[in-house]
Amino acid sequence: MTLCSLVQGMSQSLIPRHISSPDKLILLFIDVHLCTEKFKSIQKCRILSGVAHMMGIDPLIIAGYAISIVVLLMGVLYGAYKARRSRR
Amino acid sequence: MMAVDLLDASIIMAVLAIVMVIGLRGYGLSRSMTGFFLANKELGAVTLAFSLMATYFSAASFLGGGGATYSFNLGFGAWLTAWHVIGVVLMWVLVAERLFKYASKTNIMSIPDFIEHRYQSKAAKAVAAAVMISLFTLYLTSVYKGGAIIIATVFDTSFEVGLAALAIPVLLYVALGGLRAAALNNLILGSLMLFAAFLTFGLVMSAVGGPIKGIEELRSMTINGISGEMWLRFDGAGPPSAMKAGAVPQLIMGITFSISVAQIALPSLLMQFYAARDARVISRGRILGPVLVAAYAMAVFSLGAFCHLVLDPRLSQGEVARLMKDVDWVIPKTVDVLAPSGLRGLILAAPMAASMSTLAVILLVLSAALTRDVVQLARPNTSERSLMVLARASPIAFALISLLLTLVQTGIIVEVVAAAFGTIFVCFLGPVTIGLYWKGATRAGAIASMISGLVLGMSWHVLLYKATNVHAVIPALLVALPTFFLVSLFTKKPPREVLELLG
Repeated sequence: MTLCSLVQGMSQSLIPRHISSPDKLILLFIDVHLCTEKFKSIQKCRILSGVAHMMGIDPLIIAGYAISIVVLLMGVLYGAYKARRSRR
Repeated sequence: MMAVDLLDASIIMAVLAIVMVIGLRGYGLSRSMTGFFLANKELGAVTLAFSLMATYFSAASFLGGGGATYSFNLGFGAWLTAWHVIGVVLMWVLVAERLFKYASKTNIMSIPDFIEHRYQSKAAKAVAAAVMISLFTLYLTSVYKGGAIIIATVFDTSFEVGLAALAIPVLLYVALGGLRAAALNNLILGSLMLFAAFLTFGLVMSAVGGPIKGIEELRSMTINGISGEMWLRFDGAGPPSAMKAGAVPQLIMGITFSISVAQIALPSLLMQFYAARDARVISRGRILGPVLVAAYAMAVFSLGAFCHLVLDPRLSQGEVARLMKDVDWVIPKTVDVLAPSGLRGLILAAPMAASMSTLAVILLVLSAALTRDVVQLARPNTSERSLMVLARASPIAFALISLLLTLVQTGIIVEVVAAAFGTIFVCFLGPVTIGLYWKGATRAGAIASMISGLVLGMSWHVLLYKATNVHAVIPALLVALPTFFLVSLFTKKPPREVLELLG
């Protein structure tokens, strides 16, 4: 399986219907995890609503935990990048 | 209340003794102003990251943050975690390096020092010091309350006696040690806090059969006449007045935002970046710092809801109702039920000792504000020796004032912290955080922003917060930030040599 088809498969199964192409994954990422005021778009997201349905919790609660993990990962990756650059 | 357990009591006393010994060792290292306030600028990445975490997290976060979802739905825990992670990442990414570089090019020791230098204004420095003194004194009441509750729980005594027992070692420690001692202690206390957080999380989760089973059982419960389902809905459980008004989500977002995002403008945290050994420390801390805060937040902030499964079968309906009004007692009571002797002492020793350390650092910040930013400003010829005497004596006065305030204030911890931190955030976001980047920021803009933020934030909290369920940080931010930009646009800029320091 190529990387492209993997991303395509993931996008088809995970992202909302109104975003159809894999190259818009980054937009989805921002839409889902960073724009907290866009609660309605979060509720429409299949990942969050899927997890929320599975656990029986409001998607807006799951969104809080999801944002924590994603922002932490972004922060750590940025920190590692800057640390590596400062060593050079 | 439980009977006094000698093993638990001994462990807590031992942790306190270690804290005191480190405080005494710090005495020799803190004979100059730089040594006392900035740990001789020798902090490494690990010490700095743990010091920031332990300054920020104390019994207030362990008890207040941990117990909050006993009354609020799980959304409170989720968003308190999310805003904390956002805040700590922004602090390390946006503020740390810039502030460290600015501090290393100048001779500044505190946030008011930075404001004076950045805006070339002694008046702005005095306003900053006044804002810090008033709001941190309010914040200290929440830390005192947390520490005192733990002592009262373990030693089976009253809240008032617990308060007095906490105050004495804190005063000795601060008067003798300085930031070097506080930072070394924070390394130990930060590790202990993480250990206590994970252990408490593990105890609660194993008692309820894991988060999924816990959620299922929570759903089937009836808590104080309310369906447990309401703890799983973002617009569900909360204070009765907010539930009646349908304002639980806005209340949750207001409180959690105020407490957490304050990290990017909180002087007690930011001044510690000055104490870094070199720029590489900031670079390495950027990875460790957010991980520590996130790990702690994820372990602690959602526990309260699950504590219903542990505590409610053992309590009468009236006791559950009372506990839902003062949720700060939920975590100690849960630990008391679940943890065996010894382990219970270890868990509760960590937040209590961290309270001591947090109190110590905040008292140092207040001492610095009074000594350097008010007295030195009013009497520039005061000798270094006289200033050191004042620096060691003034924390005692601040500690006593906040101690008395703790006895009279009745709010739960998260609300007090949100009021204090939210207003500090509003007051310093423009002058400090934005001022590090925007060269157009001026002295008049900074002063107008701090005064408008303080006045509106505090008056809204006292007069309108309960009636509207809108947290003070929202209206205060909507006024203070535009004021900062608008006034800055039309007033005189600082000299070019100062602006060049901003990079």
